[in-house]
Formats: sequence, structure tokens, C-alpha cells
Amino acid sequence: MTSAAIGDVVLEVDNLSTVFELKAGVARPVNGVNFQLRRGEILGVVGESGSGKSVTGLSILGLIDPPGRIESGAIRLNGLDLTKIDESEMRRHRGRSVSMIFQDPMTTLNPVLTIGRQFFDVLRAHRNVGREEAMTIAEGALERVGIPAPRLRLSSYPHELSGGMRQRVCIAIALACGPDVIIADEPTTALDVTIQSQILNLVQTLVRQNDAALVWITHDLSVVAGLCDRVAVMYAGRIVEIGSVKEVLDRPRHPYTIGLINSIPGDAPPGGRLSQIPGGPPSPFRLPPGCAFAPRCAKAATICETNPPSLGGPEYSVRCHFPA
Amino acid sequence: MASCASEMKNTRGMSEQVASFMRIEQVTRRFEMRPGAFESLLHRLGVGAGPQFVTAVDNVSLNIARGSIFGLVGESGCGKSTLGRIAARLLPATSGRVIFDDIPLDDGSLTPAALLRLQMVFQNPMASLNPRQRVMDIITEGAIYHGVIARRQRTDFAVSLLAEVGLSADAAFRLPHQFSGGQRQRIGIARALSVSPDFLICDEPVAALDVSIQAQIINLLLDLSRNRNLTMLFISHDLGVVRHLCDRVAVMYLGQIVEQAPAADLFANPRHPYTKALLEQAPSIKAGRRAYRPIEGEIPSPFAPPKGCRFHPRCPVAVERCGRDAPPQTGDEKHLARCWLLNDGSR
Ligand SMILES: Nc1ncnc2c1ncn2[C@@H]1O[C@H](COP(=O)(O)OP(=O)(O)OP(=O)(O)O)[C@@H](O)[C@H]1O
Ligand SMILES: Nc1ncnc2c1ncn2[C@@H]1O[C@H](COP(=O)(O)OP(=O)(O)OP(=O)(O)O)[C@@H](O)[C@H]1O
Ligand SMILES: [Mg+2]
Ligand SMILES: [Mg+2]
Repeated sequence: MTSAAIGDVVLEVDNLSTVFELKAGVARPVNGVNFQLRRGEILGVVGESGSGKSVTGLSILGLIDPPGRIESGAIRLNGLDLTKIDESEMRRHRGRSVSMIFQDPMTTLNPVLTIGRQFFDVLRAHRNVGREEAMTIAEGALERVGIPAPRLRLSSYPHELSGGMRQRVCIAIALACGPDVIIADEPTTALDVTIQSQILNLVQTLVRQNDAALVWITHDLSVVAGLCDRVAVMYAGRIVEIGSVKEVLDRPRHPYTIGLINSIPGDAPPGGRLSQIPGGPPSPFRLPPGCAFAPRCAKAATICETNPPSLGGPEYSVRCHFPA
Repeated sequence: MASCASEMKNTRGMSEQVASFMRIEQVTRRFEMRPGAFESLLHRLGVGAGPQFVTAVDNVSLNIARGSIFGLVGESGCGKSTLGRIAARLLPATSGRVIFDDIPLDDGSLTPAALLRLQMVFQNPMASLNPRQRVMDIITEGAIYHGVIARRQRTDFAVSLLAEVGLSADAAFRLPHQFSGGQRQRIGIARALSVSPDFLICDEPVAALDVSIQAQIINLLLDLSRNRNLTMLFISHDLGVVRHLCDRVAVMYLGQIVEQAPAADLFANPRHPYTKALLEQAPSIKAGRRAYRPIEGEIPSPFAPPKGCRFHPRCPVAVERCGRDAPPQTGDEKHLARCWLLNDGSR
């Protein structure tokens, strides 16, 4: 829980840019992302829909398919640059050293195999287990993510589960192999708070026990407040603010972070219009020069047409010409 | 702005008794799960199991007033999507019926045009979008086919629809897999709205959206409900959103409705112990790092639900009778709950 438990850097993303070269033009969903992740640490990643959170995760896992590619930058996992290794070597790391819980559970789950069978396949790929042992492990894993009657659920097919159950099965599968780095992409969107909190506690404990590290992509700031050590705020393919949860949520300095926090329903009267940040995010095909938030920003001035510098140090930084 | 909003709420509240747009009458849905080959093997090893039954929706009745937004909340797996799919006519009920604008949904006399009035936004947008269709076709095809717009209007129509859900015009020429999760969810919303439905079933429509876009979509839904009298069944686990948006809310637990009331009333005076426990859990960013106290006790197996009141094994105030007999629904038309303790007590 304390920062004393946080250890060495396990993942370092250095100036990562990922592009999709389509007929319509070149999309730049990830445009110079930097962050470090230490063992025992949970980093929350928040940001507007389409800001590049999932593409960042997929880039780390080496799962960007043509016409997409990593254009530049480095991704160092325990010092090894994943952008330099080939697919067969990457496959050995995927699942074991770094694993991803996908935003859409059906990316992970095979619709024609039962849950028990899918656990078995995953466990056997990374650990030497027999069928019976695998089923015992699977049952325990499903129980820990709050699925009632876990033993019976091993015989269910994905379509026989509710949306939230499918998400929890994916979490259980990803955790089962004990990877060093877990990238969880909106893994609890379909879950109510009670079950979400149970999973958050489980994940927190596992991360600390195994000395692993976790990237938790979410749009839910209350989850960030309750789970994470640090938080990165993404906008149009860049991290615009990063720091400890307390620092960023209590004293946000980037105008986008401030707008995000003001959009949370709760203080608005029921049935009234909610505060929304005016305008929309830029298309990844046509990023404005300089600060991508400038067209929507009340503080914007001519200087915002130049790329804002990153202010601060390794613990906290903000990219803005006029931070609050 | 705010006072105007509450006036709107009042007029809608009054129309509640007058016109019920959708009536869900004693709907039950059972699923059977048959073991496959691998499971039969497991079964022999003593692990898996034989055929199992789940009563996902158990004798549910609801009235949804015209022009209202009806919220449906409850724990994961309690049957919300199943009920939504039955209301959208995508899944038959095992028993009971759904009456939409005075016509039973299973009635063969419903024309395709009539069915168009009923649209659904799915919980899993990827599975509900055709991966080989461009967004332009996804969101205009239905409208052209049913004569809502002429073919030559399609580009303008698509662009304005995309803008309404916060997507830029270049989205029209891309395929579903080329979008982010939240963008796909909004394509699903745009498709449902494209045919100008009267009734919209939304299954977790804002779950994958960040708060700012979520606010935009909620504002859009509020506008549609006021200006076009759109009626909605709104499934969500986000109590903040439900409280903000819905006129009336039903709380579901293990296939049954345990409480339903006008939203303001439900959030101010929850009656059922499950509702009370659910509301206590509501998160906030101000709460900071906190240990949520999950509702005590195991979530019961839907394959073998508890006897009596389904919540009794986890209920802090359960008495002996709760484990024996199922409580009836009590209260007045406006605020109904299913709990023995309310029965003997005040109301
Ligand atoms: N395969 C692809 N081809 C082209 N563009 C893509 C592709 N995948 C993603 N994009 C675009 O890249 C941008 C970033 O997408 P990404 O999925 O990373 O967003 P996100 O931050 O995860 O958003 P959300 O919160 O909605 O899931 C989006 O504008 C999206 O449309
Ligand atoms: N096609 C099916 N076959 C068998 N069981 C099913 C099927 N569809 C749903 N169920 C079961 O019915 C129950 C209710 O599922 P449903 O999807 O309605 O839940 P939900 O309330 O929408 O949950 P969530 O919030 O997680 O989406 C679950 O126990 C589920 O496993
Ligand atoms: Mg995403
Ligand atoms: Mg559901």
C-alpha cells in the first residue's frame, strides 16, 4: 500500500508513436507517449474516448496489425526493448511476462469453447498442469472474481454468461498466469460497485504479492481514486498530465483534466444538463499543430500552436503552456 | 435551466398513470445449459455438471409510461440484459407477455414498420455491428430501407447523426474494428436512433464512455425524451447516471424485481434491504482510497436460488419467515417493494 513497497522500473514506454496508414490518410492515435511503471505499482490511465488508451496497450503487447505500425519509440520490459524483437519471441512473453485484459471480452474468449476448456488451454500453455488440477485452479480463480457457482460455470459457453460475468472470466484468466505486467483495458465497465470493489481488492493484493505492476485503463475516476497509485491523463495520443492520484485528482492542473472532473454527474440536479467539455476531440487523421486540446480550451493563446513542453519531473508532469 | 428540467419531470410524472407505453406482464425466461463433450468428460471426473437450468427472469411485471425513462439496476448476472432483450423482441419469453403500445409483441399482426419503433443499444457493441459494413451503411441502411430518409440524403444524414454522438464525419468511411471501444458504443447508439424509434432499450449505453462524452450522450438522450417524446428502458449499473436520467427505477435481484419507485423517491427512501445496500456502495472520487464493504454473504447460485426471499441469506435484517416464504410485492402503485418486514410494518 505504501510507496515503500514500490520497486524497480519494470516497464518503460519511451516516446511511443503508433500510426495507422489507411487510404483516407494517416491516423496518429498514439503520438509520443512516455511513462514508467514500477513493480508493485498501479497506474490508472484515463482520457477521452478515442484518445489512444487501447492502442497504447495493444502496442505494448505487440498486437498492432498492418496497416498499423509502431512508428517510433521504445517499450522496455525489464530492460528488453519489445519493439526490437520478432513475433515468435514476443509470443513467449505475451501472457507470461505481460498480459492484457481486453476491452471487449470476446477478443479473449472463444465463442465455441466452454470456460473450463479455455482456462485449461491458457494454463497449459504456460504451466505444466493436468486437466483436473487446471479445473481446480480455474474454479478457485472464478470464485475469487465473484462468480457464483464457479464449478458449474466451467461448463458454460461465453454466450451463456452475462456481460459482467464475461469480463470477470477474462480477468480471472489473465491473472491465472501471474505475469509481471498486466494491462487491464476497461475491465470492469459492466460491473456494479460491489463486485468491482471485490475485484479491485483482489487485483491490488495480487499486484503487491507478486511484485507485479498494473496499468488500469478506465474512464471511471472513482475507480482511479480507489485503486491506483498514480494516474496518467491522455488526450489525443499524448499523456497531458501524470502524477500521484492525490495530486492529479485533488489539484488538477491541465485544463482537460479539470474539464473531465467537472463532467462527473453527481452535483448536477437530476434531469438537468450535465457539464460537458465544449467541442469534440480532434480526428487522429488531422491533429492540430501544437497542443491538441487548444481548440477546446478556454485558456488557449497563440503560443498554444506550438507543442507545450512537459513541465515537472519524473513524479509529476503536465503538458500545458498555462497550467492551473 | 434546472427549474425547467424539474417542471418537465413533473409533467412526465403526471402522464404516468394515463398512458402505459410498454407493459411487461409476468414475464419469465428460463435457460437450459447442456454439457458438451469436454464437460461430459469433466462430469465423469467429478468436476463439471449435468444439464442445468437458470431462471434468468422470474415473473417480472413492469409498466413503462410513454415519454418516460425507466431505469433498471441490479447486480451483474441478475437478468437485466435478458429482460431487455425480451422487451426488444430479440428473445422469446418462456411465459408471460410484453404489450407495446397496446399490441402484444408476439402478435403476428405487428408490421416491420411497427417493430422499427422499438430499437436496442447493445451492451456489447462489437458483437452487434457487422464487421464488414462501413459506418455509413450501418447507420443509414435502416433509415433508407424504411423510408425515413431518401438515399440521396444519406451523407448529410450520417454526418449529422455522427455529430450528435460526438464522432467526426470521417468516421462514416471506416469499419467497426477501426474504432475505439467508446466510439463503437456510440455507433450503436447512432444506429438505434437512425430510424427515429419511439422506444429505446439501452443496455449499459454509457458504460465504455469517459465522463465528458457520457455527459454528451446523456444530454442527447434527455433532449430526445423531451423533444421527441422518446420512451426508454435504461439498463445501467451506474447509480449516478440512473439517478440523474431516470424518472422511475426498478431494482432487480436474481431474476426478480425487488423494488420500484420514482427515481427521487427510491434514492431518498429506499425500502428494500438490497436497495439500501446497493445505494450505500455508490462510489465517488471524493471518497478516495477506500475499502468498499461488499454486501455480506455469498452471491447465491442462479442455478439453485434460495427459497423464500431470494435476498435473505445476505440480508442484515432477515427474520425466520424470510427463509420460508417468498414475500409479495407491497406498497402503493408508485412505490412497490418485496419484503416481509415492510409488510408487517408501517405501510
Ligand atoms: N485499427 C485501427 N485503424 C484505424 N484507426 C484506429 C484503429 N484502432 C483505433 N483507431 C483510432 O485510434 C484512436 C485511438 O483509439 P483507442 O482505441 O486507443 O482509443 P481509446 O482511448 O481506447 O478510447 P475508448 O475509451 O473509446 O476505448 C481512435 O480515434 C480510433 O478511431
Ligand atoms: N443464452 C443463455 N444461455 C444460458 N444462460 C443464459 C443465457 N443468457 C443469459 N443467461 C444467464 O441468465 C442470467 C442473467 O443474465 P443477464 O445477461 O440477463 O444478466 P445481466 O443482469 O445483464 O448481467 P450484467 O450486468 O453482468 O450484464 C445469468 O445467470 C446468465 O448466465
Ligand atoms: Mg479503448
Ligand atoms: Mg447485461
